[in-house]
Amino acid sequence: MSGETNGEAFRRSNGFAFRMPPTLTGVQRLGIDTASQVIEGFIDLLVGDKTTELGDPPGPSNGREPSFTQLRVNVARALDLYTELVRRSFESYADLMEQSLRVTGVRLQATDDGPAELLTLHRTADGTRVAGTVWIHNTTDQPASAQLRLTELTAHDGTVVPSGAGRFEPAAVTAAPGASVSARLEIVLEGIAPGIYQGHVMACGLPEAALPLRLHIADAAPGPLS
Amino acid sequence: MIAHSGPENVEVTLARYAALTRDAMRRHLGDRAPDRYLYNLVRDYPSRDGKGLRPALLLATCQAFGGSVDEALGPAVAIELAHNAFLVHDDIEDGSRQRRGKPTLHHLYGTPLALNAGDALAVLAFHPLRDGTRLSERLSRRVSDEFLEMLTRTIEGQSTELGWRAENVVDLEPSDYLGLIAQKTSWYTTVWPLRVGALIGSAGTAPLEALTRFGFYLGAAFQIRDDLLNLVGSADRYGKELLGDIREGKRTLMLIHLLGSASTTERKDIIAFLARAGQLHADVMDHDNVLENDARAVLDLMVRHGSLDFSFQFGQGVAAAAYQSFNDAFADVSPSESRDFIEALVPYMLARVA
Repeated sequence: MSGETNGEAFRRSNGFAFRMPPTLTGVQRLGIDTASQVIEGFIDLLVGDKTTELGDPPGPSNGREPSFTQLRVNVARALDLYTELVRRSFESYADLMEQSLRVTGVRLQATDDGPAELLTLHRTADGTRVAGTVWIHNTTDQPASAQLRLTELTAHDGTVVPSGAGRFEPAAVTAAPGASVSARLEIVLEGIAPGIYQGHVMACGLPEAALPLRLHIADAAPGPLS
Repeated sequence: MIAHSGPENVEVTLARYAALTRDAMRRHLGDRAPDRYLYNLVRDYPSRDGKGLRPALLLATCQAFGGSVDEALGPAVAIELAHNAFLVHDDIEDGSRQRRGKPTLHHLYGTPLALNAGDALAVLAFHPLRDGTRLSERLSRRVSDEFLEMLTRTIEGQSTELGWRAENVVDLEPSDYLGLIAQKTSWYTTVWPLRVGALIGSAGTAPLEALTRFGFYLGAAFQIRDDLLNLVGSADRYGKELLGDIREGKRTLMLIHLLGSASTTERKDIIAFLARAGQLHADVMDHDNVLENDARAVLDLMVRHGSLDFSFQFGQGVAAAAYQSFNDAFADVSPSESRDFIEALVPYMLARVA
């Protein structure tokens, strides 16, 4: 370089081409050592490089069994795929659930100590009646008023429990927008033959609302009634 | 047999990756409006002929580790957009007039619009990372984390360099320079593409330390060589103003060596020159024809004190580390054209004469 003031000789001889030197000079060794110190400092600061997410042990990468390396990759890809499938399935299910919950209207439901879609009645303390609670859920933005009534309950052989056997307290309800109200249903057992009877709770004024009811009266000591 | 042994083959493969990235970038930018004040500017630098080293390194690494181009195309577009965002802002910060042989964006459209376009490029770079159709959520999250880390490091490095110039910091060592370019250049030019390519290709199972070392050595040697070419390279092939680094007062390895080798009087003159360059830089002035004679005098001193030779030898050592560390980084990677391409890319980046 001495005597050159514009680097022309450097350029003519392609002097900037960094090729692998056969032996190292002192300055070249300084370059390697300095660069090594700098990058090791950075690597020490890196978070998350010591192990991969799938638990790869720290250390140099070379020397691993190639087939095992490929196996890890395949397993990781499969796990990602299944994770994605599970996630998408859950999201689809959750979307459907949310959609169904968003349906607006007035619904009749049973109390929460049994299936909401089937009214369960419990024998009263004196054993002469059965009773249960009916809920009216109003998810509209208008008040919902209705008079509750019990249909005839019919057994398989045509035996009928007349609708008048049931009594609601209160008989008429009004649910505010977005609110729920309840009413108690009692059926007097006197004169009702043992058997299984089926019918509905209806709400006058709400033609879409209905709640199935199943009344089971055993021969001797009666079991749970629904 | 290495498929990519010659520079012509490397350039063919580079061009193929660049075309894939450019097409994806075009689709990504699409028909966004307004053209006149924003998207014409946003599309300007990416449309200029660049080598596309970063996306090529990322795509090839992904393929070498068993992945596909499709999986890595989003991150490839992201790094290219981020790179162009950095260039727009760098050109303003450095008062540069030329980029890839044409006027810089702020010279064409003015600084406010160019700054805004640079911001847009940086923000738009995040969009392709959010495409969840090609990568699992787990990998997308890791790639995004790596992207944020890379952007942060690059900006921190840039702030250090700007601060050194603003405060005329002169007591620097080669290790300071390497620490600076590790953050400012290597991380986004080589380290990030290698790490993210391997992450995607291996579905997150590849160890990244050896790749980080290789990326740093390669990027650092590439930067030292670029700094040398800025002083004595060929103006028509370099694409930027020669001696620009001296005029801008950049703390290159050559300058750091000169400051440590010059006589007391020379050192005093150099520090005074750097103060003037820093002041011009702070005013964001163009450096063409400014301090031209002074810059040539500094170059003469560098030649006289062996600073070019020192930097060349020092860079040669870093390059040797890059050549050697390739084998560690790709030890577990089966032979393939992509692996061969990356191996051939090392001499292409470090030995090609601009």
